[in-house]
Amino acid sequence: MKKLASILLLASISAFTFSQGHLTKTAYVSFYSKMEDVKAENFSGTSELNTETGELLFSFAIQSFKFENATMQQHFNEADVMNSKEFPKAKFVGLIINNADVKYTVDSEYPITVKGELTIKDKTNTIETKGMIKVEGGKIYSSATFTLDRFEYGVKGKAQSISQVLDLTVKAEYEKI
Amino acid sequence: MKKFKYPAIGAICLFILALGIGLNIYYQPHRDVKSAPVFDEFDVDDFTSEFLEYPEKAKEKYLAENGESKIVSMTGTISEIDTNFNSDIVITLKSTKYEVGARFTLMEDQKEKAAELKVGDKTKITGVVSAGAEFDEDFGRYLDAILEQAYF
Repeated sequence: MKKLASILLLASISAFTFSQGHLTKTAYVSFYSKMEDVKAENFSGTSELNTETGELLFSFAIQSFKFENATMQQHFNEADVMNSKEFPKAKFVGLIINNADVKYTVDSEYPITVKGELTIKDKTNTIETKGMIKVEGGKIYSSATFTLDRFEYGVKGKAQSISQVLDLTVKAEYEKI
Repeated sequence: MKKFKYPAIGAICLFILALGIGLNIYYQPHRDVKSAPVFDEFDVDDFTSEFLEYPEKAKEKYLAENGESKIVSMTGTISEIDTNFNSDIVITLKSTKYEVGARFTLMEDQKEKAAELKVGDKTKITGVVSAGAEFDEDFGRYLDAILEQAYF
């Protein structure tokens, strides 16, 4: 009897935790370089948000970044810049520090602070940034704008025509899983 | 003065030629995916298993260093029809063998054809490989392969 109770308890805990998961396969990220007015956009990211724990994940395929200029796009993927053949994805694994302040069942906009590990190529650094969670009609949206020093991730390349510090924008619209 | 005339004209011509070649390379158009050759054609199961079972070999086979990766055609059953932040239609073909599939972001001119499709339909889509399917330990789940600039 005790065993059955434990199994039921575990099952209900897992079901509760699972129900807090929200996923999207169309997350957006862009970066902008002021120096040359260059922008690249990626509309194919995967992101998962656990509203219970505040865990936030993003994964983006490097070759899904689109530039207006084809030569720049090719150069961006090359071995001495993003090396996208060897490292096809960039990933962020983090936590919404003030997750307790977000009422995921009440429509509003909630300022958040996110801290986590960003991995680009084979370099991982801890980043902390401000962002926003928007709850509207039962849907959850996340967004953040922050800067990134590409040299910290070994993204250099031969040409120094792109700013060292890039402006990044990330946004996602989640579906409950 | 005359002896410098021809070398000067030659140097100017060379400069203009080099500038033309440089500008032509810098402003070259993006690859025309629809008229480029299709590398291979298979079932979504085959493509998925290549990346899950032999990821390094599959990366070497399908991904190009400059990002102009292989164009492949895949047949499978539609499991999801979605729209991204650019209002592009995104279709997922699910593998029958794995808990994962391949996700195609369609070109803008494919919307009309996409509107005729629904979840459960079997279809063939061609696209540029951007990343293969994988199991991601942080997500605790399989992530679909990603294909861009897709068309029917």
